[in-house]
Amino acid sequence: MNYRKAVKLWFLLIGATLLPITIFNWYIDPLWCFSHSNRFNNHQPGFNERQQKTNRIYFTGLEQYDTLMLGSSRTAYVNQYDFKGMKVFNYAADNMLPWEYEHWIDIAMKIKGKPFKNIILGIDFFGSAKNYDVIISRFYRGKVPENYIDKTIEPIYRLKSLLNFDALKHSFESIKRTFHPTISDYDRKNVRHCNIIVPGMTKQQHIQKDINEYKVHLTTQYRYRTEWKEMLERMKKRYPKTRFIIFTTPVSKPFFETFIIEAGHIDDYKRWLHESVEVFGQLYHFMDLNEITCNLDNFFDAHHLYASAAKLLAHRISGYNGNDTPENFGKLLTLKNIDSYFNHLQNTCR
Amino acid sequence: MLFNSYEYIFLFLPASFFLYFYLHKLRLALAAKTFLIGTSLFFYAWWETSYLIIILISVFFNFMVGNFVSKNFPISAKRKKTLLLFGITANLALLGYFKYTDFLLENLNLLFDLSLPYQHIVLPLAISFFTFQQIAYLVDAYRGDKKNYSFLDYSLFVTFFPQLIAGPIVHHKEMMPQFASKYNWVIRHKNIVLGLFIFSIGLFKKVIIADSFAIWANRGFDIAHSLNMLEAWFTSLAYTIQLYFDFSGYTDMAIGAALLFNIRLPINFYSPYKALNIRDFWRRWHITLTRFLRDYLYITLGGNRSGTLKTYRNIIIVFLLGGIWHGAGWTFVVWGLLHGIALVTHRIWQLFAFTMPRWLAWFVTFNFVNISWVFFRAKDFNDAVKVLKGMFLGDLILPAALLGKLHFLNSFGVKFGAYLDAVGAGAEEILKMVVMLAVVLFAKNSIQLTFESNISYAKMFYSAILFIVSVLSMNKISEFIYFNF
Repeated sequence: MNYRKAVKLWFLLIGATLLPITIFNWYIDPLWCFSHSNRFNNHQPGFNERQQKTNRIYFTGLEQYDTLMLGSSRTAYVNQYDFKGMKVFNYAADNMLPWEYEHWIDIAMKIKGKPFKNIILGIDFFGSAKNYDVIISRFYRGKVPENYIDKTIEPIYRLKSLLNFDALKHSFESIKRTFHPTISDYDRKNVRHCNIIVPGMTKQQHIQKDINEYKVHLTTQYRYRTEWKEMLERMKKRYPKTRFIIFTTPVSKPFFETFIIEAGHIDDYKRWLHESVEVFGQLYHFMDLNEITCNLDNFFDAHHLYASAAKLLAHRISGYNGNDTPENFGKLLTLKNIDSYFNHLQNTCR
Repeated sequence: MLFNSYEYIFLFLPASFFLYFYLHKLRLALAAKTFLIGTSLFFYAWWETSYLIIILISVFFNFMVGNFVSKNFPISAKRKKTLLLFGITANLALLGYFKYTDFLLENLNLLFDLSLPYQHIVLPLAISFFTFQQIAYLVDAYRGDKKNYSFLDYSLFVTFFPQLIAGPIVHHKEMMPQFASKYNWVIRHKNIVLGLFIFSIGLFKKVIIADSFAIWANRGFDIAHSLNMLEAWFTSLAYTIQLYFDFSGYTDMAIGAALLFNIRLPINFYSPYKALNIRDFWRRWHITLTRFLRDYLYITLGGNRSGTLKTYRNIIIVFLLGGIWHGAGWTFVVWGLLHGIALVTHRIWQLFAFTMPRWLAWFVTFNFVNISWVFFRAKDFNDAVKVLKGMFLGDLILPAALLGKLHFLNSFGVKFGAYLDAVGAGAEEILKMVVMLAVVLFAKNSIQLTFESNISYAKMFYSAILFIVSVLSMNKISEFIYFNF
């Protein structure tokens, strides 16, 4: 055997396999370590949004953004470019829990190098459920947000993100989604799209499925997160130079009725809203029965808005005076009007 | 830096290799040697820079003591002996302080009802390995069994990165001549071929096999509250497979990396699970540790020269210490004691010239090793008891699919239903386990494939496939088990 030749052949085989995989994964970039955009990487799965978005901001920076938006999947579907007069980065991710907020703000501020002008918090009634942490913990497997940035700053992380089977799998998935879009595709501008119109029948099934899924921990097991107010106060105190803009995330009428009215959580709901207003002085309230939430055409399932409706939410929050947003969608609750709002709500519920 | 990391494979190893031989090409042998020590220290410091000072002090101290106690140094034999004892004590004290302080405090608290605070001292990597290596060096120096080495050569012997973290436990006699040989100062393609081949096997063993079995072993040992019979056996066998592929995989990678530099490290594993008796097992498992314990502890205690009973005593002592060397815990002591007793039992068996069929000999040996690993792996006795209780007293639950054919077993207390749920496994995992057991029992081991048969282009092709698959599966980096020892 010619050993010199064997060495060359070995490396040739390695190179001929790993190099194309690396280039292919770089071209698609499923972990968002690079900024290039092309036809095949504009329908990407958010398979690990926390990692993907952390990679994005670490490698491309946050200089151009003055506002950070946090929240769960309901917030993740809000297009960051729909906010007028603000440069928003949407750092929201599926099942983001309240205890995560501070961690993500710290990480983003460290990367930006200075405080944000605004932080938009999309708060969910799910987040008021203390028991929800346990259910969601299976997604974290003991991880905390710092683990994600620690991974990102590992040496040669970008190379690692390209040289693995998982990345390859997600790259193929991106290509597949280019031709067959889904209800949850990310483009290269950090916008999450629902790229299909869900037919009525299917939507009803989705709504029922969602209701069944949340039933246990929003009804029988529900325990109010008593540290909610304290958590918000601490956050406000920690970032004194930043203006907090709080909004509640809209859910469809059947969802609202099932979990707020029928499940008997109206008092928890009121407490959750009251405490939030007490801390921040005001909030934009979308999670009630209003023109948008009572029309199922605005949702593709029980609690996620289509882009057209989410756009109205962004307009309301950013004070855009278009004529497109219904009056009762995103009421501004303050300490002055919150009690009268509750009275009105009580009557509605009856 | 882990062997199964992108940094090591794509940056550190190639850079070290090319720069080392480039310096030799420039006829800068001393610079090349210094460079290799530097890269080895960098490799070591990658985890924790504060470890660096410990290893540097240790190397310097042992080199000096080694010189003082050596044949040519002009001091009396008595002084040399005192110095040797001081050297060994200092090494053991360093190891003891870092590794056993909390263990000692825990036992003192327990015995005398005290509440001495734990120190939570971080164990420096590789300390167990380089301590043993250097104790052997001191003893040999005292015995007049070493040549005059320069400080640079000695430093390289201790710190050479492929064997630094988890062995093999190398001997100065087998390493120094290789570092000194000019033949090894040029790139040898044959060694590169062998090195890449065995490195790829090791990487595959670790990343694909050991880390897969680790998931089930961890579930069984750490997560499950109780285990039925199948789950318990699955757990123990999963760990038995994991440990072998993890540690032998690491050793293969160490041997492979060293070969790139034309250095041949000693064999550390040779199909241990094929052993037909416990003595045979220890000739195949962690061979360099067995060699050290034999040459520097067993023989020092008198070996088998002082009668049968003392021989047995010496074996028990050696394995008790071997057990505690692996970790500061009573479970390790029990594991060592079990192996000591097994070796003594085997000797008694031989005394009576009993025999048994080969298959039965293998079966007894393998099961003993498998059961004793439970103590080795368990965090504490509760964990060990949980697994052992499951193995021998747990409910026998078979897959529900078999109920139709085997329903008559119901009357014997056999149940049908979720049979491997606690470890998150099923039929597919059982098949994987059977395949892996077949591999360890019937396939040639990596040493045989690399050094005892010809390397062909086909073999290189397969090794490249193993390498590619492993590299593409390395996204979840896990540490080697033996880093904890």
